[in-house]
Amino acid sequence: MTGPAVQRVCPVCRGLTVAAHPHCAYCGRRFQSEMMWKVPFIIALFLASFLAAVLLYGP
Amino acid sequence: MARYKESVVTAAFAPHLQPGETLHSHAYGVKQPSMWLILPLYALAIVPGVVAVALLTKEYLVGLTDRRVLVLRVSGGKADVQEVTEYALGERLPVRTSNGSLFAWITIDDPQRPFKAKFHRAGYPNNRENALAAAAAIGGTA
Repeated sequence: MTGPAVQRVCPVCRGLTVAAHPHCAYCGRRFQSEMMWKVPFIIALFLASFLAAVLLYGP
Repeated sequence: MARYKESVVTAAFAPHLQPGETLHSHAYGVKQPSMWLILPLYALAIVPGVVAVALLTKEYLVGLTDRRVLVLRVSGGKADVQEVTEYALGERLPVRTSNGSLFAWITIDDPQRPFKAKFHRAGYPNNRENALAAAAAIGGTA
């Protein structure tokens, strides 16, 4: 039932590597999850927004 | 709908009425902060939510060829391809579809190549129909 696995495009060499592999099969670049920067960024954004709201509405 | 019940309002006025004075009518009003303050505060509440949704949304292009259904995960204005998933035509995959007034939904419960996305009717001409046709080619119902 299962066909070819999901493949990831290397942002450097544009080669296709099975998405489960941690490195590009062609240039060896290490793949990183996008969540590594997105989740901290979103949390920081909410905290900064909360801080700004408190400062803006403060006495 | 009234903010306060009649009995609550009359009770609030009662201690402040002079002897023999009667309350004819009453009204309820508010004074909100300046709009110059309300608008930035609303923006502060909404903008992070909008940014979070935008960052966490994945975009897909689904193509039906004479051999396969290709699913490309793309990003950016030039549809920079991030991931490629392929399903051969005729694969009897556990595909579930639904078609609503705005979106068509496709869910592929393949353990190795799971996929789930919705397709807006205004995404492209015949966007929902094309998405459902691709799903039907690999086991869904159009």
